[in-house]
Amino acid sequence: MSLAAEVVEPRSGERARRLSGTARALGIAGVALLGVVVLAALGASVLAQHPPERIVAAPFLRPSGQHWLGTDDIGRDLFAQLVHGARVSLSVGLGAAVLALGAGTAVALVAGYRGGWWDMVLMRLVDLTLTLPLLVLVLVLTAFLGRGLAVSTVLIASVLWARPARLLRSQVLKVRRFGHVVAAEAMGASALRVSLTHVLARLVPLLSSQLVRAATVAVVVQAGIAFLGLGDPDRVSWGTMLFFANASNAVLTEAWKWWVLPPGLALAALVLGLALAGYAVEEWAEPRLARNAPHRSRRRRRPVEEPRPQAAGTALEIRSLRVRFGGTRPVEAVGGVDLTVRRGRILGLAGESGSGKSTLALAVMGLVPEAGRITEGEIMFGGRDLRRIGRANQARVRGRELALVPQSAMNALNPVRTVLAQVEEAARLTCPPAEARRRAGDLLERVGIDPRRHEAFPHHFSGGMRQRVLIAMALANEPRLIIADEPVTGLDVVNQVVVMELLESLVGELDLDLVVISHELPLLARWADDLAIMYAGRVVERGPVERLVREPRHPYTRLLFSSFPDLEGPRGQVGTVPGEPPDPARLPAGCAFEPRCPCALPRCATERPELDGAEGTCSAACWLAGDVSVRTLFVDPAGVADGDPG
Amino acid sequence: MSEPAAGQAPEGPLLELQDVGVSFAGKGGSGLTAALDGVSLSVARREIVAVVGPSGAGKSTLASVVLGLHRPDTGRAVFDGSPLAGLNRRQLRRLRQRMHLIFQDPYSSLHPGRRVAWLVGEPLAVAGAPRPQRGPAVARALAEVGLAPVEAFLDRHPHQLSGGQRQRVALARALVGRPDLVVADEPASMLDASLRAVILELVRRLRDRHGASVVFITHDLALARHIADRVVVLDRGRIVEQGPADEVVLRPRHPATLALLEASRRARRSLHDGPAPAS
Repeated sequence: MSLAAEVVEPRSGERARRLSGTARALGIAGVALLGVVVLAALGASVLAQHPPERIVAAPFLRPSGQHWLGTDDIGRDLFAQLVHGARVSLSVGLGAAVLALGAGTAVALVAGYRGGWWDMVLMRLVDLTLTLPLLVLVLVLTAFLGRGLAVSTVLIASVLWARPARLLRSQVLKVRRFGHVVAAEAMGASALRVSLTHVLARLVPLLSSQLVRAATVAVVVQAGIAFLGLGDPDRVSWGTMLFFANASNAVLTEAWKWWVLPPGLALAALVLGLALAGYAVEEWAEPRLARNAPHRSRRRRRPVEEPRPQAAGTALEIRSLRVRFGGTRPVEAVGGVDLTVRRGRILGLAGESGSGKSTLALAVMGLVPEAGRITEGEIMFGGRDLRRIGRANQARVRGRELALVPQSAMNALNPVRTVLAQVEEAARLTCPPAEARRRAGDLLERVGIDPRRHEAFPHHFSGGMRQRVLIAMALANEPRLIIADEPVTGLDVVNQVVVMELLESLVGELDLDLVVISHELPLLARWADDLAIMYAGRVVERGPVERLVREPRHPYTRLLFSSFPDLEGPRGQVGTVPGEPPDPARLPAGCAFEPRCPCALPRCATERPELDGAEGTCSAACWLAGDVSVRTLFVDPAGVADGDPG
Repeated sequence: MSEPAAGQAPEGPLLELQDVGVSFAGKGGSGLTAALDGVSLSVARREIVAVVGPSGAGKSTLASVVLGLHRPDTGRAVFDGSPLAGLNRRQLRRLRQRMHLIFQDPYSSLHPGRRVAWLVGEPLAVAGAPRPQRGPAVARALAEVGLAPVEAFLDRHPHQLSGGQRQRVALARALVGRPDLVVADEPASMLDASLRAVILELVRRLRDRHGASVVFITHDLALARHIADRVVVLDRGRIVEQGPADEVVLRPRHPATLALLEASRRARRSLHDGPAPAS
C-alpha cells in the first residue's frame, strides 16, 4: 500500500513524441490545406482588387479578368467575398473554440479538482447543456441577441464548451492521483498552484485535440447560421455567399460553378484541413495510437537447417537468443542468452530493471512487443523450436503448455469482473463451459481463496490475494511450464512467503516447471533450485543455487547479494552496486559490467568474457572467475565476512 | 552542521500522534473498518523512526495523518507544538512546507513536462522563496545527491535521465527545502539494489547534516533495523511493539513482530546463510 499507488501512469507517452508515417502525412496535408485558407485570410486585401461589401459592377456578371468569379445579384465581387470570407470562418472557428475550451477547462478543473458540491452542480449544468439541440439553440439565440460576429462566436462557444468539459473533467480525476500531483499537495502547494502547474499541464494533449475538434464544429455551425440568413449582415462570409446564391437561384443556373462551388470547396478545405491536422494532433497527444497505425515489417527468412534436438531432462532450452528493439536508438535487449530450465526444478532469473529478464520471458511466450523482434536463436520447448512453429501454433502453446503470471498483480486483473469469472474465462480455452466454472472454483480454492469470496471483485482483494488469482489463471489449462514475472514485487514480506510457498508446492504437486523472475536475488536464492543472473541483456552467472550462494564467481553477483540488508550482522551497513547500469543503446565493447566493477582488469574494457562452463554447471562470464587467487581480491563493501568455505 | 530551519522550540518532540483513530467505510459498504486504532507515537527531533508492518496494517494511513492529508476521526496529530486539527487550510499548507514526502516510486512524483531545475526548485517555490535564491540551493541539492556536473542536468526532462538519475532528482527535492520532517513511504521496495543504497544514504544525510526527523515506512524489518533509531511495529491499525531498532528486531516480544521476522527469515537467503530450510 502506498499513498500514490492508485494510478499507474502510462510511461510510454513520456518518451520523445514521434508520429507514425500515416499520421505525419495526413498532418502535413491538413496543415497545407489550413495554410491556404490562412494565407487567403491574411492576404485578403491584397488578393482581392475590390472591397467585398460594396457594389462594384453590374449584377450577375460571369467570371472575367476584372472579376475573377463574377459578381452577385447586386453586383458585389464574388472573389473578394471568397477571400474575405476566410477571415470570418477562421476567426469565428478559432475564437469560439478557444472560448469553449477555456470555459470547459475551467469547469473541468473546478469540478474535478475541488469536487464535492462544485462537481455536482457544474456537471449537472454540463449534462443540461449537452441535451440541448445545438444548432436550434444557436439559431434561436441569434434571433434574440443579434447577428454580429462577436455575438455568434460567443453563442457557438456557449453550446460547445460542455463536451470538452466532461472529457477534461474525467482526465482531471485521473491526473489528480498522479504522483507528482500528490507530491505537490504534500509539499503544501495551494489548490490554484497545483491545478495550474500540475494538473493543467497534463491536460494539454487532450486540450489540443479537443480544440481542433471544437474549431471544426464552430466553422460548420457558423456557415450554417449564415446560410440560413442569420449571418452578420455587415460581414460577408462563405455562409452568406451561399445564402445569397440560394436566394438568387444560382444553384439552378450555370452560375453555381462560380458562385456556389468556390465557397463550398473553401468550407470543405477548411474543415478537412482541421480534421486531418486533428488526426495528427490526436496521435501526438496519445502516442500509443501510433502502434495501431499500419506499418511495414521486414522479416528475414529463417535458416533452413533443423535445430539440434532438445536435451533430455530439460523443460525449456534457450539457445543464443537475441531480441532487438528498433527505432532511432536500436537496443539489443537480449544479447545472446543461453539458458536451460531443468525438469522439475525452479529457475530463478535475477537482474536489475532493464537487464532484459522480462523481455526474455516475453520472447519465450512469443509476446515480444511490436517494436521488438527476435533476431536470432532457438527456443526449444516440448521437443520443437517455438520460433519455427508459426504464429497459430505459438498461440496454441501459449496458455495450454506455457503460461505467464504477468508483472504487477494490481493491474493485470479486470476490475469489473469477479475473480471467478476471470479464471473461468481462462479455463474456457480447453474446458467445456460447464466444466470451466467448476475448474475455476477448484483452482481458486487450491491457491487459497475462500469459496465465499470467489464472486468478489479484484479491488476487494489484497495484493497477495490478487497474485494468487493470477496464479490460478495461469494454472487454468494445466500448463507444463509457468513463467512468473516479479510475482512478489510490491507485496509485504509475509505475503512474499505465502506466494513463494504456493508456487513451490504447485511445482511438486502438479509436476510443473517454473521460472521465477525477480530483482531480489536473496529471495530467489532461497526459493529457486537454479539461478541465472542477467546484466545488460546477457546472463553473467548461472548455476545450481547451493554452489552459487556458497561461492559466487562474478563480482556483480557478489555485490548484488551484499546490497540487501541482513537481519543479523552489524547495524547500518548495507552494500551497493556502485555506479549505474549502462545505456542499453551504447553498451561497452568489453564486459558490460566493467565500468562499475571494483576489480576490473585492463582487458575487461576491450574483450567481452563468455560464460566459462557448460549448462548445468556453475559458470560465470568474467575474466577473473577462473582465477581463485584473484577472486579473493573482490572488494566487499558491506563488510560481509569473506570467509567462504572452499 | 546546520540546525533545523524552524527550531524555535527545540524541546519536546517534533511530531506527536495522540490516540489517533481513523476508520473507513467497510468493504461492500457495510460498517466501518478501523485503519488506525488508538495510535500514539512521538518522533523526536533528529530521530529516524521506522514504522513496520504487513500490508493493511495502516502504515500509509498513518503517513497521510502525519502530513495532514487525512484528518483523524479521533485523537490528534501535533506537529512542533501545533495541533493540525486547529489549523485552517493556509496554516496547514505552511506547515506542510516543513515536511516532505518520499514516494514508493519516486519517479512518479516528477512532473514529466518540467526540467530538473524546476523540479528540484519546486519545494522552494511552493514555500515562496524568491527565484534568485532558488538557483544556488538547487545546485547544492543536486551536488549533494551526486548529480555532477550540476549544469549538465539542470535543463533535462525526467525522460532524459536514467532510472538512477531520476531517483536522485526525487531525492534532491527532499533535501532542497531543508524539511524538518521527512516521511518516506516504502521508498525502497520497488527499487533496484543500487538505488536502495542511495535512499538509505540520503535518509541518514537528512538527519545527520540537515537535522531532520524521518518517519520511514516499510514492511522490511531488516531494512528498518539498518536505517532507524527506533522501530514501531504496526499491526491491524494498532502499535503492538516499539523500541530501539536492535531491541525490536533481535528480541521481538509481540506475535505480530515475530511473524514478520519469521517471514523475513524465510523469504530470503544471503551469502553467509546456511542451506535453505526444507519446507
